[in-house]
Amino acid sequence: MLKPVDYLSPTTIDELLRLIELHRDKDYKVLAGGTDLIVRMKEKIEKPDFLIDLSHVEELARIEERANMIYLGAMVTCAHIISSKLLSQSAAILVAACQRLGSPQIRSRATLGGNIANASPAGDTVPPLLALDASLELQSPSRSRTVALESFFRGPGETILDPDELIIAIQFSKPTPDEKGFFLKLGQRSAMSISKISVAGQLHLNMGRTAWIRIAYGAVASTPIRAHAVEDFLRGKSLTPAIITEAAEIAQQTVSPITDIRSTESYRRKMSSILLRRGLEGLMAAAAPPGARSS
Amino acid sequence: MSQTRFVGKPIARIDALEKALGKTRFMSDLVFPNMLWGKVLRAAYPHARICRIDTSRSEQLPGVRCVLTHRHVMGLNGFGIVKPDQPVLCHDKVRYVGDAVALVAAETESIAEEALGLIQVDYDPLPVVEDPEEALSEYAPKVHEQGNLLLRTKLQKGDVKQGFTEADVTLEQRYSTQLFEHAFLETEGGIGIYDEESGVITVYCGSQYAFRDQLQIARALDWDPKKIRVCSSPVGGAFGAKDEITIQIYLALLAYYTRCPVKIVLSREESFISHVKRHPMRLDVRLGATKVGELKALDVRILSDTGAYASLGGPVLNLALEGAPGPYRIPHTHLLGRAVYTNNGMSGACRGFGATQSCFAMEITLDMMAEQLRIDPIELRLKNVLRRNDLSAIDHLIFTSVGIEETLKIARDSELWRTRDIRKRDFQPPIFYGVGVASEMQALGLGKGIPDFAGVSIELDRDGSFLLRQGCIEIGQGNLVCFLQMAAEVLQCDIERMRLTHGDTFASPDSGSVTASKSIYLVGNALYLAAKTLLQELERFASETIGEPMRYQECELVGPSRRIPLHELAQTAHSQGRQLKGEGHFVHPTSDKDYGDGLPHCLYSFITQVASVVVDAETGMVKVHDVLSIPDCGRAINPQGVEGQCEGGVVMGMSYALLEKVELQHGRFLTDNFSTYTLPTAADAPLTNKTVIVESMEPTNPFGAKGMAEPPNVAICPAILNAIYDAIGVRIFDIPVTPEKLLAEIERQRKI
Ligand SMILES: Cc1cc2nc3c(=O)[nH]c(=O)nc-3n(C[C@H](O)[C@H](O)[C@H](O)COP(=O)(O)OP(=O)(O)OC[C@H]3O[C@@H](n4cnc5c(N)ncnc54)[C@H](O)[C@@H]3O)c2cc1C
Repeated sequence: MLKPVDYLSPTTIDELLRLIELHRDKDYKVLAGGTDLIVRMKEKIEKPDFLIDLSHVEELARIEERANMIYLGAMVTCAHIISSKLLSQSAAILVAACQRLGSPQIRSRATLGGNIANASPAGDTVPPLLALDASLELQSPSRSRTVALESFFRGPGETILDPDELIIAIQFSKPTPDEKGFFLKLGQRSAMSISKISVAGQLHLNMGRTAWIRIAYGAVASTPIRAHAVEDFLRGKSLTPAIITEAAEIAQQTVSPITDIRSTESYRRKMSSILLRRGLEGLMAAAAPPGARSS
Repeated sequence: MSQTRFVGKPIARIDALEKALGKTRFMSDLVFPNMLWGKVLRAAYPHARICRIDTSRSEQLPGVRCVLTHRHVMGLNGFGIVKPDQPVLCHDKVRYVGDAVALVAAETESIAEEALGLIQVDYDPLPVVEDPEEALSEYAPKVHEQGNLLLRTKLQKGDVKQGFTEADVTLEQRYSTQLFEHAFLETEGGIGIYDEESGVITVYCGSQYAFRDQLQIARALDWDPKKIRVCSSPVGGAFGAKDEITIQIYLALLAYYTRCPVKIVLSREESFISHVKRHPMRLDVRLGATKVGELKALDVRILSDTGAYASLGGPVLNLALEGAPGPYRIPHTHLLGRAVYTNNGMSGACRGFGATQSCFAMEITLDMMAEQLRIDPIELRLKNVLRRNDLSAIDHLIFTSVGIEETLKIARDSELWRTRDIRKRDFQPPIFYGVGVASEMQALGLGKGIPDFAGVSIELDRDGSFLLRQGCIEIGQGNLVCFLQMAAEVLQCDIERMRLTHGDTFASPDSGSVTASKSIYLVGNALYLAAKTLLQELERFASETIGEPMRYQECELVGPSRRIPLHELAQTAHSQGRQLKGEGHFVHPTSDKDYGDGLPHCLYSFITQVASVVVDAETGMVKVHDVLSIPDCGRAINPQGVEGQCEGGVVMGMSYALLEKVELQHGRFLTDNFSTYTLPTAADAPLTNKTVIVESMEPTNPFGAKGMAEPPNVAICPAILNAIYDAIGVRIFDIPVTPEKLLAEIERQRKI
């Protein structure tokens, strides 16, 4: 049973920050879609006395393009992302991850801010956002700052957020049309499944060589991670089958998975190779000129 | 009954619309004035002595109406279908984490929950018995005083030693199965009410057998069973887990002590840890055959982990043994099983009832045998297939209908089977395609020596409609419309002209439990007798009143000079205070043999299932692609219902093969809800899931019906595992075949 809680629902960011200031010493939680928080309250892991609901703060629910940057309010939901034309054109890997997150009901509630703040190693939106080199706009009553998403996580459920600090927005440079990406995920079942492992990649090919590439994994370490060693290896190389195989080998060395109720350490390690290889091969197959595919 | 109007037609279920609209009120939806909330204090340890229980602080909490412990149980402090070894409220010892130690009733649910936390129980933890093998050692801690062996059963036919010497090929393999959760949607919930004036305790709580609940409650409360009313229908799913008592006795006790309606609805987690599961078993199978594929000898040894209490652990073991040889003639068999107490939760009835486990082991062994002998797997099965009036592999005469041969022939001729090698070419490594087959023989009914009957009465109402009084419950399987279809056939009237009762001990005769795939068969027999008697009664009464010989025909009574509609006759009877009614009572036939403890059975349904899979040999992921189920259920009273059972059973059995497993550690559940215990979704279901029904008319049922609730979730599991082998040449002998397990095995065998 849920314990009864008080409930506040600000409508602007200013009001929100004032409320947080006011209740600074009290036991409160901010409520986004509630798909993680309510579960944790039911399991009595969280026992806040009251909730500050972000869902009426309209400013937090915007998807915008600002000077070649994509700007996503923290309260943007997965369903919103999936239906955004802007994002399906420019950030397909984020859309793909949102399509695989939970179920239609969950996707209507689950927010980007919640998925990031929850800091699960398996949070599905994080690998694509890492691959897009996203940064977070954080704000508390006393300060605001922008941090790279990669430096945000400390461990499972742990972040650099101050107790009174919020994620306001997520932003990343708008990918150019010639960038390509992939998102792959394995779960215990086909839908409504927490990832056993996920991988996202975003790259820019120049004359058949990778000008740059960013690869990120979920559920293979205590936080979502960037696979820098793999990225360094691939930079400047053309993605031949041999190079892809070698990159996949390196990937195994960069991850540090564990065995838990969903999968095993060794399976996750192997899949970090397989999924990366498949992701890269998929890109190459899609990039190949017509007629070259069957070879 | 060759020409039928209702039987054999896909008539819509009478409960379909209101269920689709969410209007059905299950027992856990009921609300009464002045209702209190009940809660159950479960054991803090999987195995411990109870030193002291102090409820004083809990009792003092404002809003708490009563706190009950074992001292408040007026009658026998125990329940259990076969032997009542499970305490209603534990007294000196707890044996699994679902054991109940105390009950609370309070004005609100949150007060009741708070009150639970104030009950002080001092325990002295005991070593946890986890391994069923070790449980049998003389040094093992005892779960029960008299030792950890619940039952040992041995069945024999011929001379198994001799049989193996006659065999050219002998295969031997060890198999193991997991603890499996039924995952019904409606957790255990309901309301108890005590009416002081009449002395009647009413318990509204979904279960599979209201009439046995009534007796078990009466025994625990030392109450007259006639003063206990149980309403247990409709049920929001059970799959065997609500055959045993769940919370009914708690409801009755709390209602009695508070004199108020008391409601309990278990949380998913409490439900998960407390109700029975499907038994994990270890099976050692040895099978011998001649070069030409004649099965000669079968030796099966089963070790079944029954958990903390008996419940149906004995009968489940016995059915696993009886089902082990499958639908085949085998001259020499030796089947030995042991069911063992541990602190691993508790196991009991679950769809398939033991046959699930032994069919999985036998059908993979057969597949291996076919490969060894270079015989097509279906041909090998056909060569040995059981026919009516054969002696079974446990040496009893099968005098009832046997349609397994026909199911195998349809499988053999199916597109899915015929194209299996051609379709392999559509897939490129690391993706592989394979097809597998398996068959099963499922015993129906409770078996030799166990009371197994159904009573039904049918009354003519004053408006000329019929009231069918029967006691079986609706559990989601759709039997109610089948009862009406069968009655309508005999009474020659529309289904709309009938009403029926279900699952209410005060409304009808006892029609038996809804278990063992048997309600259509038994109730069908009883209602046939009732309907025939009623028709005679109608004709007699009409002839008396009219003064000429009247015959019943299509809701009219027709004489040489007159015709009266049924509703007029009903009016006449009513005005004279006459209740026109027919009763039928049917007792299940039994086998000529008696092996004790319910063995053997005498009526069987059969199934052959073909499954294709697509295996990703790099990730170990298996997608079940197409499934063809070919059940022999006797006459399919409602073919749509049979298809429904098959489609659902396939998904459940697929998940048993590939996905689900209850994880325990030192007697505690690591998976206790649906976020940790993962169920398949619609997206995981096979792409095609077809049913072709074989109808071997059953001579002991007037409609030719048998049953088809369990088999579809049984053979599908080995069919899928055989398909995986066909795809990648790797066999797994312990389920579920998770990607982790399959990939490790692929790598071990370096097959790919
Ligand atoms: C059935 C089910 C299936 C799921 N499937 C998936 C899945 O496939 N993949 C996946 O990744 N996740 C899954 N989840 C988890 C969950 O849905 C996601 O993590 C979701 O994105 C959380 O967002 P929310 O808006 O619901 O967060 P909430 O539950 O409202 O909040 C989560 C946490 O973040 C904090 N928080 C929220 N917003 C902010 C903010 N702006 N600033 C600071 N802190 C904040 C809250 O205080 C809370 O501690 C599933 C959950 C359920 C119940």
